[in-house]
Amino acid sequence: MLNSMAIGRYYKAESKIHDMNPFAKLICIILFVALSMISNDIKLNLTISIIVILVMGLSHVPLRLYYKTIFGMRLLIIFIIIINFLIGANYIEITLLVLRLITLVLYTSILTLTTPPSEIAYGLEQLLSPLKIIKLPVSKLALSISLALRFIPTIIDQSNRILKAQASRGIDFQNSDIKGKLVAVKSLLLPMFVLSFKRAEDLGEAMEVRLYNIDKPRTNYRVNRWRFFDTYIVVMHLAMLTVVIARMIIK
Amino acid sequence: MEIKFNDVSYKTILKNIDIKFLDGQIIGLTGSSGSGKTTLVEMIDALVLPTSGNVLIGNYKVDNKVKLKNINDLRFNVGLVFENSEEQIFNTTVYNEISFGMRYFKYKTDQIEKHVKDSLNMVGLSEDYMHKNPFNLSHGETKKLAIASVLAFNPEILILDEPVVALDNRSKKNLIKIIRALKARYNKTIIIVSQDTDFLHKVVDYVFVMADGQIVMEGTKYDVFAKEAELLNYNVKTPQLIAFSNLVLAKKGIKIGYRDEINDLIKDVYRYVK
Amino acid sequence: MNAIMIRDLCFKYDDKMIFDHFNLDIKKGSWATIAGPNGSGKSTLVKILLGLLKSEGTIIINELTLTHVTIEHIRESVGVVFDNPDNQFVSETVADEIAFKLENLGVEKAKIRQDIMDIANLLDIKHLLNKEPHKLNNGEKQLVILASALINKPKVLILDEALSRIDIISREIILKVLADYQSAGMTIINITHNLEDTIYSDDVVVLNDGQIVLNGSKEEVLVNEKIFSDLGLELPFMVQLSLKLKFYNLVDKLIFNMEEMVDLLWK
Repeated sequence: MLNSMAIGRYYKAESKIHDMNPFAKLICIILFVALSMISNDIKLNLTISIIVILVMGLSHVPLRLYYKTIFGMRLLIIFIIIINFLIGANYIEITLLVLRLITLVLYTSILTLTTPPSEIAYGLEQLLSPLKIIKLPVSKLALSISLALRFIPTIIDQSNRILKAQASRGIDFQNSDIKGKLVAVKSLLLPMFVLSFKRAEDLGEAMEVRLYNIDKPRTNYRVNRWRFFDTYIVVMHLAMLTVVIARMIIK
Repeated sequence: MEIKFNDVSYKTILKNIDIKFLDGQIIGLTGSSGSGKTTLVEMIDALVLPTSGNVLIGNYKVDNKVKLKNINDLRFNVGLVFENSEEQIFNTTVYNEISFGMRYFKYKTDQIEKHVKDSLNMVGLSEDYMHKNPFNLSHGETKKLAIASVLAFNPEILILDEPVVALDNRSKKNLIKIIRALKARYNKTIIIVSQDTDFLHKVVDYVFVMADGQIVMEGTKYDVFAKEAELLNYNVKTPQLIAFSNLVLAKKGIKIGYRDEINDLIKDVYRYVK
Repeated sequence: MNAIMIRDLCFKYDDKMIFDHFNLDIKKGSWATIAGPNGSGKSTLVKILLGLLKSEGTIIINELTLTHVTIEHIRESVGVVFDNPDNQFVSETVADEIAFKLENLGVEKAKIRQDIMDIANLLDIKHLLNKEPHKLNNGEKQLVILASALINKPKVLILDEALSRIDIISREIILKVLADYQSAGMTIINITHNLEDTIYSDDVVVLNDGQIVLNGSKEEVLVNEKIFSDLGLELPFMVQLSLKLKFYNLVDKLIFNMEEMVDLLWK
């Protein structure tokens, strides 16, 4: 059955990374992705990887959870290796590619493991807020993302229960052939749709009676102010990026 | 069909379950949330496989190596009505819903309509329900529909998981009638999972209490429900009918019997007060 | 002094008249049970009171007349607990869930943190604050929803079929906490079809088909055996016992407490 632990989810712990402002974390991801994309040198990538591992340690999240994320991507990694092998890339290039991919995934996991979805949504809202000028409904988008993330485990649990109910009456998704699986999925969709509509209605009412108003400013009690550490980390990322770009230009 | 759990464990959820459900009985399974009740009954329908030990249901064995063909044969004999009836509906008409299981369990097509009508009858819904949309039914009607859908393929074992949660009194009374009729007329084995011990007291013969993945008490309902202090320990409430008799004994030293119906209790009280 | 006053409420749904010039008063500081069979309009009434459904007539809650202008003010003073907790959670931790209403009110962070601690202590859910709401058992979930409704100390608390799925321990905690809040002046309205809940309340209102069938103190209302039987509502065990024993002249009134009954019977 579907495993709701497979997605790299929030792990509560005390760490400087946990305390960081989510907006800062998102800026860092963008900078890091840029850094990763322009670094073609293997020594540079190893350095980056070591730094990422150090930050993982700082996050106080058990290493096995990071391992789980990589393990979850093993098929993709194998696929990429095979494709590159077939198009004639040499071992060094493939190793570099895999190293960059794994490092990127680990880095992103640092975000998802240390930041609850609502904070991610808050950070996204901050990030995209300049787009309000072109009338993009940023707050509504952030809310949709936040709620969608919060409901993933609920929906997975509900699907599991529905699949069990089907199996008990002869449609067993797991143990059927393609035809059986199709019937199972079609039968799953009907109750899921109906229950999702009911859920949306109930949820909307529950939020309204607790005075949720998307157009009004609201406190976000958990999210921390922007602190020195946030500035420090962002500046570090910028510095690394600048140094790498500078070196490339000099060469 | 007798059900025997042979030292069954499942992850951290079930621990060394070793019990027997006798054929033709109405059995209650109670315990607080998270005690493992739902997982235990799901195992009887092979929806969950043991990590160690096995479950014998009649001639079927459920362990972690069982094959699908046998699973479907088993499931044909076990009717499981889940706690949330709305998660058990896959069709847009009552007729299709009740015949759903039958089609997949390969009933002959000409017999299906008759069986649908019989099932509706059995749960006290009239034939005009056949064309209704199941999602437009009230909670009580949905529950009856779920039961009808399961009775439709005539399983020997019927399992009801929390059937009376949020159910109105009229529907509850109907459910009790249905359960009693199923035992009396068809001698089905009926397992009821519920935290509502007042309800269980009205219908079951034998009770198991679970806590933390283990069976912690078992016996006839009178044996088990009488032990108030122990039940409270497991976060299980004693039925009021029993609690009253216990209180009279504890406070006044008078032993009035344990009764199933309030009218019988009144007669006892009248006798002992005079 | 009334917490809620309803006058000439008219509400139509799908061409069917659900409430037709409906009137009801709920006394301030009382614990009222609104009971009725399914389809009697109980839950619709809750939605109307919270402004989730538009209706005609006059509704005055905590001395404010319900209009689209005052609705936010009214919602600030009314806490609600609906019956399906999974469909009410918006957050991924219990603490965030409890904070939700205060965040919407723009309360400052330090106060939010303090209020969360206070209510968690009161409801004995401190150990749940960092957990994910959907992973809790039904009783714990309902405690969380209750906490998130009580967090801003509303004057009125409405429970809509909220006590039907919970285990004993959570139920005891909830009932005790509600009794304490009532002593401090909160009005409690419990909507239910399970009459066992009436034992804890002061007043009972029975609805059927959008009309009031019975209204008064629980001692006055619960003696009407035939009406309850006609509506398919089962009286609480202690009330059934009292009424039958009254018939045999062994007791002369409704007794809600088992110990009291036993002492009375065998003096």
